Amino acid sequence: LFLAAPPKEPVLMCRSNNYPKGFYCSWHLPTPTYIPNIFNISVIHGTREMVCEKDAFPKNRCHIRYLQLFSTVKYKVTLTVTNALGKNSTSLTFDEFAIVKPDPPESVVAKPVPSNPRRLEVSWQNPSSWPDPESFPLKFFLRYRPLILDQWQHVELSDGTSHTITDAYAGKEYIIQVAAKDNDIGTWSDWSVAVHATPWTEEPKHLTTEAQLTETTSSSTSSFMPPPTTKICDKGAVVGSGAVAVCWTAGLVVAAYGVLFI
Amino acid sequence: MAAADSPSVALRRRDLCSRGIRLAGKMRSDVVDLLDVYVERQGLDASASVAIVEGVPVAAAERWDEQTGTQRLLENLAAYRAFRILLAQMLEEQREQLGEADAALGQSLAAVLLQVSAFTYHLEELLQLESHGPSSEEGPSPPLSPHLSLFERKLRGLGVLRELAQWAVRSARDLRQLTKSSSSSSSAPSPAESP
Repeated sequence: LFLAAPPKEPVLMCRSNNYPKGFYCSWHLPTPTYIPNIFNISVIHGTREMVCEKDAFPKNRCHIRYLQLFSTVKYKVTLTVTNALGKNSTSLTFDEFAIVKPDPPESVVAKPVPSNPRRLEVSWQNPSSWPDPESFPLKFFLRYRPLILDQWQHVELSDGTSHTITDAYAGKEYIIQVAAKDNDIGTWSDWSVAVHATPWTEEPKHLTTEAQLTETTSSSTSSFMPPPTTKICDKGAVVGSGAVAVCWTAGLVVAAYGVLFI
Repeated sequence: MAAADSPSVALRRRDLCSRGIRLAGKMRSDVVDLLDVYVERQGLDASASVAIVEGVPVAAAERWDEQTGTQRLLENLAAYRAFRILLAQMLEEQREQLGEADAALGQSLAAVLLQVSAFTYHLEELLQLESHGPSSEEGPSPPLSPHLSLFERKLRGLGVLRELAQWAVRSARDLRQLTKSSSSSSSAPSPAESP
């Protein structure tokens, strides 16, 4: 059994992820009322009242087209919620530039660079919701760290949609993310989906003859003799948040080569 | 433009645009810093609304994306010529009001005035390239503010700096639009010259 309640002050948010086309506002109630609610939104710019067109989905959102750009006049958005038991409202006042926040970059890809054990090549695309990146270019913030460490490295990039990391720890799997911001105004996007990649490593050298195998077995306490069919999977590009798959057709790898990892 | 530009003209335009974009970015950054100092030194509320004052160029534009290159340059040029005069007025008022007590504010105002002058020159050069002739004479000066009270002059100054900050953003966008349209027109074949 739920008790119907009048609405509490709604939570309202406005953002432009498609500047300079327009912006959207979305809202929700902090606690349910358990009865139907009606939401009304008004948008005022100076003396002008603007129409906020409700989205079909989600229902708690509407969008406004900019009629003017570069205005110093603030926007005031008021949301009123009404139900059978009462009414409540909230307002937001903001500058045109302050609410500009792009969506995260898309299609982030990280690849090892052949013969370069400390490099990773990262590329991405502008968010598809950003309508005109040529006239309204984005800048980017890249962060990366090896999975085994908590500290992120950061790089800010004002040009282009790719970057080569040159200080990766050899052999360590990395997690990489990118964020975007309009070059001149607004705030940073959320971080992109994380991608994982491991820098290129040299293939381990194999012992090729049985005679060599017999000689060394008696003198060393640990040595690895992969069978001739050992393969290392191509450490290619990984897109998305899955880990890089390194596949071996041999069994155990014993680190007896004296290859040092940091 | 009816015909594609010569490569040297296109190169010059691109060069002026890219330097102009950098200058606009620096100018905006300095104006934003100056705004903080100005508000503090003049004892104003940073969130105070300032009514549109006569003579202060308003950056707000409707149908901005539909403007031609020449329109953009003309509006920018008119605005920055006005800002040059307004900032000079502010500098003089600030010196009279505060004298040497606030040299830092005076220096910041002077630095921004210099950038505005440099940007005006850039725009004049670009307009010469666009219209293939010298840029037009300066329009009427913004009205002086002899009858404004001290507080009103402070608010006017706030309005000037806010609009200048908006203009700096708009100018960078305008110059990028110019670069974009210049790239597309330079790939068009030139018509044969008439005898």
